[in-house]
Amino acid sequence: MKRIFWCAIFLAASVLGSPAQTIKVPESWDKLAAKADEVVKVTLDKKMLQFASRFMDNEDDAEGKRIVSKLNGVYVRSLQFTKPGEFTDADVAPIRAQLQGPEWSRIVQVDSRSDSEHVEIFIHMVGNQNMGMVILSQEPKELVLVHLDGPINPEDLDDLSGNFGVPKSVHSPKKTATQPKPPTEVKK
Amino acid sequence: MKRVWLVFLLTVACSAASAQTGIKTVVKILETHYSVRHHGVPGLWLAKPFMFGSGVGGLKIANFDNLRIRTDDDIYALQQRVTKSLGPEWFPFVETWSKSDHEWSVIYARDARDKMQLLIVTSEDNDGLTVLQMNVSGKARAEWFNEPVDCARRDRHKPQETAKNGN
Repeated sequence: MKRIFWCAIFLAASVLGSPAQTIKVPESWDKLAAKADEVVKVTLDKKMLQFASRFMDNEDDAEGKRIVSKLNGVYVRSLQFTKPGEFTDADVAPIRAQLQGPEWSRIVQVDSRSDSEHVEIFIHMVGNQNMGMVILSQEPKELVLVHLDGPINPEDLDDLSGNFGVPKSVHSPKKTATQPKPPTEVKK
Repeated sequence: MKRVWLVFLLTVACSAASAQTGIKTVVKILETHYSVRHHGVPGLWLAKPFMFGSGVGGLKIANFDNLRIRTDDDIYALQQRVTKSLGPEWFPFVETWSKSDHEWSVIYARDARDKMQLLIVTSEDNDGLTVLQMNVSGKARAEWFNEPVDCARRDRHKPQETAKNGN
């Protein structure tokens, strides 16, 4: 989680403006949370994001402010378990299943054998409109789900990395093309 | 005519003041529902100089030493009750829960024009339940927005340290 350097594909620019999304966090998350030792839930809805953006007045914050102003919400759910093996892929499967409909595409998958970390980024597209992004990070004792609700480009992740609860290890995929590409799997 | 205006303004001011919710609202709920009494932190004013420049101000603390809320249902019920009483102006921003340490916290945020107000309800097995209210601005506010998970983990322990150490 801490040292992973993201390397993946670029997705075409999204279109501004999107309706609110109904599912913010998969329902199966609560079942898994019941097994966890530590649960952290961060909720930044549009009102809170607008409030935050009011204080982003520095030149350095300009890009972040632009991104945040478009988002409907940032939702972070973190589960920590006391020892490895307390949750399995089968526990995470229902969460992943909710991200596999026709409107969802996995654009990034990173497996780090050294850190035993598995990270995936899913993008929610309706027509040509980018409606949001979900980051699922799985470690032996930790599971983190980040939902960025609203239009956001994958390259915008750099500006959100380490902010608003988005893990610092999350970076934008490299800008290598202007059209969407199929999911890329990166083995470290 | 002036008198009518004054009465009108006074009425508006009074109703606005009474509508404002915060730490007193939460304390009242806890005292009423659990038949307990809170106590403040003696010498809290001594801590204030240490807070200068930190972006944290207007700190208010209420302790309930003997109040233990342990079961999931009790925690959930209390959160619902507090959230409802605080009203929509207070937004549950961060929730943390550690089963092994028997600790849980709910952190509410409110837009108070040029500053952010935080209200923290936190419970630990050793120290009981604590309610804090504070204004955060500048660096402290940026930290909360940038690293809410880290701040939540850190500040779950901070209230007790603040009360004991004065900084």
